[in-house]
Amino acid sequence: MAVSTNAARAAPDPPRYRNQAAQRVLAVLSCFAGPERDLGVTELALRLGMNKNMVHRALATLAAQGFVTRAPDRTRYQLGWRVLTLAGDDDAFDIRALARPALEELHALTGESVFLSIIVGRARVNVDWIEARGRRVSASQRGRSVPLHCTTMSRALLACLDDREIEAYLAGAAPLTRHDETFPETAGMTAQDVWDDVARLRREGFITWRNPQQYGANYIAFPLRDTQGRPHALVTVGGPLERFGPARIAELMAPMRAILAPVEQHARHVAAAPVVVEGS
Amino acid sequence: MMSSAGRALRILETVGAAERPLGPTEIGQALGISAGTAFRGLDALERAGYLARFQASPKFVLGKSVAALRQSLLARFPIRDVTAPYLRQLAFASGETVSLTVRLGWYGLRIATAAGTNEVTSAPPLGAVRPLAEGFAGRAILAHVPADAPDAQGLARALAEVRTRGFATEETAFARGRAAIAFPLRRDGQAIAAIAIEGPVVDLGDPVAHDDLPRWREIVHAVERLAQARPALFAGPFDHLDADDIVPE
Repeated sequence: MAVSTNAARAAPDPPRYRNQAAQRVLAVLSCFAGPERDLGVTELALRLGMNKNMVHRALATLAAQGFVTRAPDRTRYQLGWRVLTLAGDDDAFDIRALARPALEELHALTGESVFLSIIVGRARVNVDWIEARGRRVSASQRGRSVPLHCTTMSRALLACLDDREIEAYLAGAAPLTRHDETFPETAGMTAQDVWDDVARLRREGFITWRNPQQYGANYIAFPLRDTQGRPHALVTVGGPLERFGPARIAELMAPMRAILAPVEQHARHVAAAPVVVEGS
Repeated sequence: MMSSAGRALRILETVGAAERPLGPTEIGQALGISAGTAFRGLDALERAGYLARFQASPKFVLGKSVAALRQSLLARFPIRDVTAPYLRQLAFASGETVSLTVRLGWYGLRIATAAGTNEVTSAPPLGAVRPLAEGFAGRAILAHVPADAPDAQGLARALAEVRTRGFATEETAFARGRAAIAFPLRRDGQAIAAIAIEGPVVDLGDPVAHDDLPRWREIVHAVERLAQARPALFAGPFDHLDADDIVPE
């Protein structure tokens, strides 16, 4: 391109021949950005077309300033702690920050209460919500843990796990009735009831339910998942049945989905946190 | 005398630590080298993608190669992912930013955070390395390590108090009489990390009186149970190094 040629001509003499050692060291360091946990001298020399002596010297320079360090076998090298001290906000994925604008839009659209929940260990925890005014579905205690089989909202998250995990969870949670007093909504229910909810969510991609304990509260929930289908979080909209019934939900479905689409899209590209549900 | 390669790495550290883009003159002054020498280092760093020009100016910021290395190393701390939901829960329960600091020899490496719901924050950056003896997250760890840190003399009483209470506190500069609180994350009785609530959540004089303390402890204990049951999820890339061999400057 003519523009870049002119720019190159106008620039002062490139100093590229004076700092070959620096370039070599940086080339060696860049090799550590790959998927390998550690690298050996021979491998690096082959990959970079350098002799082993050069690679040795480069690694010694990098190690002296903490950019690389010896791997567990003491002969190979891995990245050093120094790399992390180079400031960066490259790891700022935060499901709450990501979802917050959508929660606000959903609340503005529906006028109802909106919740964001995540799996923490073997429980669902609401980590954000916007409460509607007047007669409404109210938020539970800040940061309270609800077992994954108790309440339909929890089950909507449970349904995002795979069958083996759900089995392991249910085995560890037995007897399922032990939290019945705290969560009357799902009291007396069996493992089969849980599996039925799981099947329904997987079929429809969202879940609606009525809570008989809350004077006819009605909900719809949408999971946010990564590309593997692993759950990041659950977005729930809930309101009194007379205002937020099936007909109203059907009417709002398209605009609700449109609000969530960009969040779903973003969340898909970030791996969800691992979930460990076995044990009790 | 430092080699050109060593100098380039120093320049990279200097730009990495700066809060604004830096040019050759400022870097030269910071490192005691000429602007021309600084420029040669900057040029090598820019060519390799470690630095990038800030809005086509003669000043530099960190480039994509640094982000790639950071991601590569952070991916080797599974503890970040596995604790993320718990940090998020604690951040929401307390309203404040919550951080995870892992032990790195006699230093603490701040490796993950969950932002609180409060607007005001003064959190240090991820990757900040501090001696364990400095700061409450470090002291929460230091109270539960087998040997004495080289610079822990004079801390015996403070560390004993951490062990008794189960947490360390530090007065917050912007809210006198109030303190932030850090809990050790232990496996087999030894601290591998600390979880800190970084805002002024407790009364410095009587931190144990806080109503939510049992709730916070329960969240940290849930992480400890997980660390005990699934140690591989809590392994770090520097576990094989001897504590005395890790000497950040």
